[in-house]
Amino acid sequence: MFKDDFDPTEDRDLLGLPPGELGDQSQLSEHLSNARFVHHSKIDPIHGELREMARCMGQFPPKHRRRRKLFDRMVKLIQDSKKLKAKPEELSEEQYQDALSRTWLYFSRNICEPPLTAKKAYDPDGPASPLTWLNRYLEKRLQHDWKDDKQAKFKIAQPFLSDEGWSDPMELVADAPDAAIALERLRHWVETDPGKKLKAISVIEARPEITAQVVLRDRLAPEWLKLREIAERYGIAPGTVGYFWTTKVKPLLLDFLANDSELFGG
Amino acid sequence: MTLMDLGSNETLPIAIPITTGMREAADALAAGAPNGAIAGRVRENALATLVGAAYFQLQHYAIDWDRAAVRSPLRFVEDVADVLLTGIGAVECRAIAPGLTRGDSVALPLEAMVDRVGCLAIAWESAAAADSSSARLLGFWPGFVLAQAQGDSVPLEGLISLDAMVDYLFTVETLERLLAAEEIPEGQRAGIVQTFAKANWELPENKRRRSFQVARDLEDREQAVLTRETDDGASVASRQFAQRIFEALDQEIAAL
Repeated sequence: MFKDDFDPTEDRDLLGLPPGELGDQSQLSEHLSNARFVHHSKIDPIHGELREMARCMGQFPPKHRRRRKLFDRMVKLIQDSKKLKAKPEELSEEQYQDALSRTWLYFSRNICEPPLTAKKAYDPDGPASPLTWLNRYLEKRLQHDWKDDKQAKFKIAQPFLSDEGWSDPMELVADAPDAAIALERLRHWVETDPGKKLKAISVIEARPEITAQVVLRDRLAPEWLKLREIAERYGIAPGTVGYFWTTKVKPLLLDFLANDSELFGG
Repeated sequence: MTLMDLGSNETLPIAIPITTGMREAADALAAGAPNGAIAGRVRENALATLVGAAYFQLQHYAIDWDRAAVRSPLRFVEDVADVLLTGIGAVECRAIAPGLTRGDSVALPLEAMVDRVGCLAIAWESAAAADSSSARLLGFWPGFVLAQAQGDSVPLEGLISLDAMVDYLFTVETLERLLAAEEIPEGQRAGIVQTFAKANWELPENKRRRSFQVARDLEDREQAVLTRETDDGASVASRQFAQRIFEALDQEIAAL
């Protein structure tokens, strides 16, 4: 299983980091700012609230509906607070969103025991609040993901993370049949209708001339008609056309694509 | 602002980042389209699918990518953007046009209204998907709302919250499992699941609270299922069958 390369669970809350462990000046000022909050007992209540929510989430397995609801509420609370680390000036919005996406995945996979990608899960009794823990991870992503070309893999390795590891969204495309070729094959099949199946079924009995072949020609035409436009063109109720497409036409299309030897090399 | 209208009273809906990987995949899926208009449609549908998938992935739902519509060559022929959740069904992920307000309705593509567990409504952060760095999750139309519309527009007021969606998807997943145990063939299950889910959802109490923390009237739900089945001219589910399913559903809910 993939293990995340950054593991801020071992980091202490910024509140507790000694100056020597702090990085740049902004971190230092954040530390000092937080330290002042500690001194005056003015810690933002969001930290405690999130910590309690994380503790509560931990009582349920990952797919439990109560955990899912708590997760939504935590995400919303964090986003509404606007306390997530902001985009550094030197990074583009795209780079920031990529880092943010991985941060939410990290949050999802490691907020409760057992951790799925980190060495340790977030500890609600530890020194850092979920927000601090999350910001620490985001900060590291922002610092490291774009440092050199080796890290460029991260820009594509999003957002698909399964229990088996990261997947590239481009994999969705890589092993899919060539759609342009398939479309040409489909056009030929619709025009020739070798099995006479497309001419045999019509949208409604009262209009036997509006067959599956007619509907498909409209959809394969260069101007591509919406089903709603097709319904209007032939004066048939939209719901009827939608149902006809989904239950009658689409199964035929899927059957053709699955069995077309030229597409699949059979 | 529209997004604010559609969120809760004071806050915006959850935002999902649109990543470089999503954009590259959407561009690749749109490549080879017969014309620019179709390419634009496919690109936007792919992005909506990937945004929806990113959210469901955060929530530990398993996604079946092998049968994903977004990968099929039919993406050039149809107007669909669904994420197939394993053990639950297809959730359409549809971007809502900017500028709409709560009282407006949305004309979803007809092929996206049949055989769906529901539709996740999203809003691009900017006016167009291509310019957006993130998307907001506005809410969810349960599948029976789409089916009831029979091709007409669906009202934005009919959107339920993500919180309620979690309950709804749990109900559907449980019903799928219960009906499979009853040896109802897979091809027939989706319609029956929606009938049961609708009956379970539309009790007067549920209409108000949309949650599980309400009392249920088993008799009402059974009647709703029987009435629906009879009206549709389909086979009438037996009272015993409906009772068995609802009792099992209640037990599953109570256990969690």
